[in-house]
Amino acid sequence: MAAPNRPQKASKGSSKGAAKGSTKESFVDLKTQTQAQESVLQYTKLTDIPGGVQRLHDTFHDTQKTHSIQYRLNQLRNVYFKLKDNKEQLAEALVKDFGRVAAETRILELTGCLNEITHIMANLHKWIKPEAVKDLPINMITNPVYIERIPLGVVLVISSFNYPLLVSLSPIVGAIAAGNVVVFKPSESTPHFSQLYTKLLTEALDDDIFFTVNGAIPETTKVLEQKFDKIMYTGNNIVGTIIAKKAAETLTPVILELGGKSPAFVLSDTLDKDLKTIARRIVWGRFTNGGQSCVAVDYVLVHETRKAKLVQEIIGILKDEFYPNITKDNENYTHLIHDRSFGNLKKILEATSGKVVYGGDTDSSSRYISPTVIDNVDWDDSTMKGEIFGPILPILTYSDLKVALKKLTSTHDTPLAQYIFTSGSTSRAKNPEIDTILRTVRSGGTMINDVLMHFALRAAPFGGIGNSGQGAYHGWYTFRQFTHERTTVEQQLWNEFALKSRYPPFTEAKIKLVESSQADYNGRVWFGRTGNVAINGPGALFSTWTGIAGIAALVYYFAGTL
Amino acid sequence: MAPPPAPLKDSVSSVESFTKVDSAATAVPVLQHTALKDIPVGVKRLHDAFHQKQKSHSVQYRLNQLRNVYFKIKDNIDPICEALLKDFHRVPAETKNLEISGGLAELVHTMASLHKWVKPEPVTDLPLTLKSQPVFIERIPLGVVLIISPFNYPFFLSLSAIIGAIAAGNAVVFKPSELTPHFSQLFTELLTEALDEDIFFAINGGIPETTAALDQKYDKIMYTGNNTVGTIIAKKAAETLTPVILELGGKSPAFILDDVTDKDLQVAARRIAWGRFTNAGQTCVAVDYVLVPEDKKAKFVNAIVKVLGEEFYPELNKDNKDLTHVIHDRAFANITNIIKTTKGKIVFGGKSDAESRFIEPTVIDNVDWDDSTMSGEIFGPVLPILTYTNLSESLSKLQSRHDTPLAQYIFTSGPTSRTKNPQIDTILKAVRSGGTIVNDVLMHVALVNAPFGGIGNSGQGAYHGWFSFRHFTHERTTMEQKLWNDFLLAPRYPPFTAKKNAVLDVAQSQYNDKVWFGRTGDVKVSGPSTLFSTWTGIAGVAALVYYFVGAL
Repeated sequence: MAAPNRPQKASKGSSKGAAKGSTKESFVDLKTQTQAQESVLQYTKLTDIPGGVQRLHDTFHDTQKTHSIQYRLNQLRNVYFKLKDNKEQLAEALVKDFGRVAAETRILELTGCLNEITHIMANLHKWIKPEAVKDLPINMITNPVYIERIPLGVVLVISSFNYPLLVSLSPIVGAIAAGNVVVFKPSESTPHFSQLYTKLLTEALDDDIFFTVNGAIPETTKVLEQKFDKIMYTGNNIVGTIIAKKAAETLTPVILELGGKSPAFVLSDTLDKDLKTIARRIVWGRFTNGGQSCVAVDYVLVHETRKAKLVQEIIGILKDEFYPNITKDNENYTHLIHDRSFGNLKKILEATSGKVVYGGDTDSSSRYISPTVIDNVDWDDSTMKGEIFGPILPILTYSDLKVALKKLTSTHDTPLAQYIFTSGSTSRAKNPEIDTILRTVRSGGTMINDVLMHFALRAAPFGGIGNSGQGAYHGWYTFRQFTHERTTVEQQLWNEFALKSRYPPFTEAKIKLVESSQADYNGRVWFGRTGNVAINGPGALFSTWTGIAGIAALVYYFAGTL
Repeated sequence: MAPPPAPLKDSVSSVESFTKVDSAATAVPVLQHTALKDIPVGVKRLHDAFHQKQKSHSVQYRLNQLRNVYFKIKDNIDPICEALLKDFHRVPAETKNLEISGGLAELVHTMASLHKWVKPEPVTDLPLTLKSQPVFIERIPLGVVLIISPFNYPFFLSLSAIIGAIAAGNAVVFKPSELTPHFSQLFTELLTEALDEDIFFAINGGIPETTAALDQKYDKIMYTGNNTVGTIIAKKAAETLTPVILELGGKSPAFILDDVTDKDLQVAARRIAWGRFTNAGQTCVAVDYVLVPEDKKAKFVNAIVKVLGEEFYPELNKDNKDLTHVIHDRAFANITNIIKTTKGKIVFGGKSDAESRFIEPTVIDNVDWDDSTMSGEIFGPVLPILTYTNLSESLSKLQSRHDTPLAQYIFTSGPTSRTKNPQIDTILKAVRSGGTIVNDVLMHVALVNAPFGGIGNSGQGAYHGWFSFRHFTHERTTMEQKLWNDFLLAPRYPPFTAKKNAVLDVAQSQYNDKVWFGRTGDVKVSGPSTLFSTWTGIAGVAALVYYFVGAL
């Protein structure tokens, strides 16, 4: 998602100015960023980390508190009110940290998070109900057979700076709803936010089930040396790989939420009248949060016949609607997280062979890069090397969709999201171009004619595939990720006569009986050796008739073994 | 599950050489190893076909492929059983009962259900603003998956994974165990004949071939086996961020509760004996040890000795057709060493024959937690019996030594439900296990549509039926939006105003920002009432309209 977090070496230097928005004094000069980080955010002592994690393991096993649903709900309630009462402060902290527009924090993070908590609280009683296993073999139809979803134990959640609330709260509340205890390591790149947020969560939650680790690489390394029952990491592929390898040593399962270069396709069927709306949505999907969204539109692939008009509309939206007369002091525009990220993006800008048709202004002291659109970009451009993760939008054209897709899958396959804009049907069943794209590009999520919004759905799985990650979460899916699906069978002791055929010494009659007790449809099938297999499975008549014959056969073979 | 694979020379055996391990070296190799140089080429063939031909997106294609597998197996049941008899004297009835019947049942179940599984699943609980959009979860193929399977249930454990992966639209690279050379040779031939070479590639061989296979990139790796190799695979997979399913093992306990009546003790003993000695104890979910109350122990031991000596194995010798042997010399040496060094009392069996790798079903009484039988998973025909007086104490002993087993079995004469039987509840709370059976053993593995998999040391990820399908697909959230409704979405765009923010708050929140719980006291477990949901829902729509109008 983000560029790798380099250790923030204390580069001493003077700090003046570079103020912005409502918190002029605190949106600091990049040179003092590290100092601010360490003075604002209290790092956890390395020696306290093993003890804190051990404490949670002990309480999980000894107190067994988290098995109670009432307990889980009450804990979630505490989190709900704590966040609700501190919305303004949380938004303000992020203004200080990276000039994050307060409205973005509210509409993209806070509201969604509170909704997810209430969604989980409203549904937990349904989720924890054991799920009956269907399609049981004939000889087990009368047994209670079900799936219990049991807590895993102690889970570690490591979150990223860019949506520091949204990407951490859903795992934390989901893990607690699932009956786990949580060790939480937020990003050190948002010191004001992380300090406040961990304080609030620590106040809200029982310290038997929650332990926070604040700090940078040494603290993260220390925490990863402890044993967990699951690790969830949101961030970039480099750190993701380190964590996955470390977790593998102790066979610890991981959820990895990474990033990728998510394309926006503008198909050849898009009408002139729709291009303005398309441009607006793409612009929003790229420049929100200063482009630092894991599901941001990273680049546009537009059919060559639609390009000129689309570019014109994009510029119009930026100039006339979203950010008129933009400067670094614009309150509706978020800045970059740290100086390294600023430096990387500046390099991309300097090296592009495309044509900068809008923006391109930078201010290093406030880590500001104006919304930038680059036209005439090809696949080898500096903007197309990796995930941009900043406010730069390269525009590529295609004439043959299949050729473009081949290029895409060979350079930036398995993105976290893909966006497709069409004036035709939005369904892949009715729009062959959409079907071609969806078949070819394996993406974490897909939106037709919109951007980002799937990330905010509380009841849909959000997660990547391939390079964009593994494991998905939100709502029920978070609950599912943080539980183990334990198949449970209850058997009777009085029915030994019915099970005896499975024991040695084996006879032909016994084997027949075991076979017919396991076989659906009395060992018959509804398909032939050649020709197409009926897609809809066996017909009702077939199922019923072979079912009856199966019971008859079972009785027959059973009688034979007596 | 199994101990790490032994060097290949141990295992290359043929019909004649089964009883004479010494002659193995001179026998003609039964298993044709895949040439190392062919491995990258074969894997790439599948990647290319997956991306270029895109055949496996068709459900019809998948079903036809599965059908081919069905008939190929159905026509070769006896040769498969024979191959395993040669490989480790696997009792053919065990192959039929525990592998083939279940494997075919799962195949048929998958074929019958696939049309339902591939349907996109609508997302419910949408926010107000998205209620009219099509929002659904597509389950898309992952790509090329690698399946590595073990020797002990070489048919069932691999077939289930392969059919799940193919049903889900993937291409499969398959590496069976080299420890069952007759079986692996036959099985890979059959599968290769049945399946389109665009979606299937089999690799046979030992460590060098497995290493070469792991050097390739996959979209998922599923491994069934032991923790040592499991860790190697997980680390290798992590380098390329490849997700894994690991089906490992663990020391699965059988608890006898203090409420078990004398009459039921006999039944419990029979089921435990079956759960331990089937497949000569080489079962990942085998009963590894018994925990029995002190005062029930003597009767239980009598009962199990009687079951073994009088019912199951009246003739105890290496030629008994109902007894499976141990897979290789190293396993034989490990297990006989455990028997030799135990401080417990051998009350049944204990003898062995190195030549045919036969070990008698062995029951060991008076075992404590430090015994040789209790240091790791036994994975052989040895059953240690431990006693307890205080259940909670023995549970904390169990957790500190052999936590997260793949299965746990609990025998009771009381209610079988944890809600009605406090002792069961105590055990199930304390011991996180892959699966649980009350009053029986092993059977959960054979369920065609229940998740089978471990937790912690016993693995990660579960499969069978729908759960295999789920594991071998990516759940892709898909949303279809209109282009004409931008006036409705306008509040999300900058420049931001307080009014716009208010619209978005209301648009996203479920109960018009009200909640059904207070700041203190217990939160109602059953969630908001219908009245609350309906009323706040209506108020939410009204508020949305109100704020929206204000923002225009």
